[in-house]
Amino acid sequence: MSLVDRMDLTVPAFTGAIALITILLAVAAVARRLQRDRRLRRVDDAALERISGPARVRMLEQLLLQKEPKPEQVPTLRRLCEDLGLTKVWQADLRGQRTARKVLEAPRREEGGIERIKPLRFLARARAAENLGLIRHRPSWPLLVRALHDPHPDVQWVATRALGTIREPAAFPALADRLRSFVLGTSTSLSVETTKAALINFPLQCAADVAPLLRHPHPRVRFEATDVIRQMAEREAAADPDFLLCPRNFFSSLAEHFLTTLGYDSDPEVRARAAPVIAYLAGPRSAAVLMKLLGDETWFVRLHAVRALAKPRFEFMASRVARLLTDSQWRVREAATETLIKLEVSGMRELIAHFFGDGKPGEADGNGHGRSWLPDLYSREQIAEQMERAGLLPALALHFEAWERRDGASAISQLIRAGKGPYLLAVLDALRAQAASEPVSIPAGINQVALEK
Amino acid sequence: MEAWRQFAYHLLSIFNVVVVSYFVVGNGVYTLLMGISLAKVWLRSRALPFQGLDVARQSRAMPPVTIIVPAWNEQNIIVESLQAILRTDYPQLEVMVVDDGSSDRTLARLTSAFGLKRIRLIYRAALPTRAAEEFYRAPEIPNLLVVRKDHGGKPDALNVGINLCRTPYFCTLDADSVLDPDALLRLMQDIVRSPVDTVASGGIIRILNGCEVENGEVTRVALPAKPIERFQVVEYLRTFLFGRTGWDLLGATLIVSGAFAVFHRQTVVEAGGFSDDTVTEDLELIVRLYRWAAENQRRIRISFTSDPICWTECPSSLRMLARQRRRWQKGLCQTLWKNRDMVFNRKFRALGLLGLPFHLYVEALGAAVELLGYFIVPLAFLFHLAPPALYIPFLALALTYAGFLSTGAIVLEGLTSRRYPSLKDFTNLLKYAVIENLGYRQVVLFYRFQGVLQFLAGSRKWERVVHVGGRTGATGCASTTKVT
Repeated sequence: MSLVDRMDLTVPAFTGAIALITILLAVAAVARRLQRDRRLRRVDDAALERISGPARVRMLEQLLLQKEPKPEQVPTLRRLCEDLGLTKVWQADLRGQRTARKVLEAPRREEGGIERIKPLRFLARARAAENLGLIRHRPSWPLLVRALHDPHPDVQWVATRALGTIREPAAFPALADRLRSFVLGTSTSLSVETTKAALINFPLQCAADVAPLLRHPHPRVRFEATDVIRQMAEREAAADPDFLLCPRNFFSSLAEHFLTTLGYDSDPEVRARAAPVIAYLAGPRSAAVLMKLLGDETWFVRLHAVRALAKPRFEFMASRVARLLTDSQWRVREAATETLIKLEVSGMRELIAHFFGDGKPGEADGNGHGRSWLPDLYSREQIAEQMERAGLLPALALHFEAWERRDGASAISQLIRAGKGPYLLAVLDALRAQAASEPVSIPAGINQVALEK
Repeated sequence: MEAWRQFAYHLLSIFNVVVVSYFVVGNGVYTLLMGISLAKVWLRSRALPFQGLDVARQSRAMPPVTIIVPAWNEQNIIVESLQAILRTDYPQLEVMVVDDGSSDRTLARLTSAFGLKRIRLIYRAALPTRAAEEFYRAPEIPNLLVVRKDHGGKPDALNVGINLCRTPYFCTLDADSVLDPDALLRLMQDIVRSPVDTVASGGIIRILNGCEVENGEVTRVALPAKPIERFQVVEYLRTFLFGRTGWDLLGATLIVSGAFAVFHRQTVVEAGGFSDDTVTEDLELIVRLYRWAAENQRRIRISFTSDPICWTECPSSLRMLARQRRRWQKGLCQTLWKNRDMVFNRKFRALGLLGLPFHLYVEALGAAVELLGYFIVPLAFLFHLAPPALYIPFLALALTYAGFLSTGAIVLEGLTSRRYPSLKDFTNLLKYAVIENLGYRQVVLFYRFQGVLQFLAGSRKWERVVHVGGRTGATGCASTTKVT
């Protein structure tokens, strides 16, 4: 009997069964959709008082938290959720407690079916953690810390985010400990970045709790902990341009650790990440450590160090930064140009002198890395590119007339050699058109340097 | 004569075994994928309320991303597309358009719409490409870079973009696609969240035809009018909602559509970038990333996420559909042939043991098996080599099962994302899921078979699909259009 012969009875029966299942599927999908539309219409019309129990909670939840509240709305919303008893319900959900009433009412609710299936109860726990985080419910932090060890990674993830939003300092050590276990691979349910994203939201004063991680023998742990502090400092600096890490906001012992240990760490990635933090430390010692990092043997340490110096208070280091304009790594050269542009008068002076200079070779730096003064066409091109990106060429062009004729001619010829001819023409056209209507803004540094010239 | 008859009978029996095994393996795996995808997509839709997109949007932890848009003769849509891309909701975004030597006014329209100014950049080629000749920046839009280069094909344009990209991740996006504003954020959030390094990740591609687009954003989702487009809506839902979701769960994601995908730049550079060895550069790169990871003993993740949506225009004529499907099929065959040592190779885990063999047997060779089946089996009945009573039931079973799988995809869409708000559209989708198998499937099968033949003939021609959608003619003004 061939294969074909064997199939002559089973095939029609199987076809019929599949056709029936398909029809049932389609009918069920349409019916469900109709039912859902009807329910939504009813909810629109329904008075809230007609709904009770967990269904009411769910509806209130949807009404209040459909969109993430704005920061100024959070206190009111939190109060409202507490008054309505929602926070208690969410806390119970997060604990995994199921009240008798909730069990009884489950079949009548849309989510009821889900709640009866044990493996799916994580959805309720995760939603509860999310809601507590949205209203920044500080008293719930111990519950959220407990949820960091929830069996389901989604709940761990939401609880981590919620703790990052609530920013209760007492929760910081627990998150720091999670970071350590994720880095060391003793726990793999979440990414390191997820925990770091939560940690960097905490106040800078919490950084002391990272200290054990900064002294950890594993370089990756030290690296991640250093990076957390870096991001915390950068967050503060974004809000306050004059921000500095000082005893008022940062523990002296931590600052000392950065200056004496992390800046000299055996792992280059740690040194690289420490550089920006050291640059925020008040006091003269930070400059010395950064100076050493500028001559580091690893290129990305030099890169991070030179980027860290892009603050006006390091203007006095402009000439040291200028040496990196001829670094062997193009990213370092590029970062050095960017930093000099931000170092105002001294930085611009170095940059312009380097770019428009006569190309005399200079001495090697103290650490033997590169030459201190070697303007070549390639590095000039890079400087020109960065000046163009920073929008400096229009200002330079505008001030050519204020310069000595010879200097102006030299500058233009350098720019053309660096391939900026067409762009300069376009800039000059634009400036001519713009000059008639409004003044052109010029960075302070370039203005002063141009006038000195 | 009897000897010939016996010989033909044996041949037919062998072919029958091939057809039946193709049917069993193909539908069996698809049914498995449907089952697991149903659970995954449903759970994902339930988890959407606690995705914390707003937190991600404000987070300093989201890595910067460059959207690379390769464009070749896209003058009709490029301005509107770019305006939409620049509005993408992502905290640290760079956008790069690589004009691959267009012979039309693509660059001119970009220049006038965005006030581009030519600049000179130092081009450092980590990946070998044709010369990148001209660079343009818009003074008012600091995160936009436009590059013009010699025509070298899409892979070359993408490699130029990768060379110029300065962010750890880049996103490839077709110029004719429309991203949901938060699609990139959703995709990146999944990448950041994963404890395993994600080197490539794709979102869902949906059909734009029939939808209303306002200022580069899809504002109303509806079914297109033409049956050929509606069939493709069903196909895309089936492919993405349970095909790719299922393979992702099995750890054997083979296809991450280059129309909208995020890649880790350094890994792609180390793996050699996009290659023009095949006509499906995205598929080929994914397979090469798996190979690179195995050879370098790196643990990587290549994923598919079902809620970030990218809308794309599908072919609205048989001629364009034929070009598209021939290219896909040819590219699949080329990639599988190029990486034939990976098939049934344990070193490549689920991909080597499951994904590649399935794609080889069901997706690549299946086109020939199924199409030949339509001809050989009736001939066998005609010449009394097989019992005639069986042909119709078997054909009915195959088509019914295909209808069942497509219906499953539509039901999954109805249960989860519910992007088609009109009940009429939903029921139409169900209808088209069934009738898709009576004509359209066979036509597509024929084009796929042509693709196999082109592969066997050694053709490497890239057949271009020209979209003639309602967005044609946009000149950069804010506009509301219905893509027809």
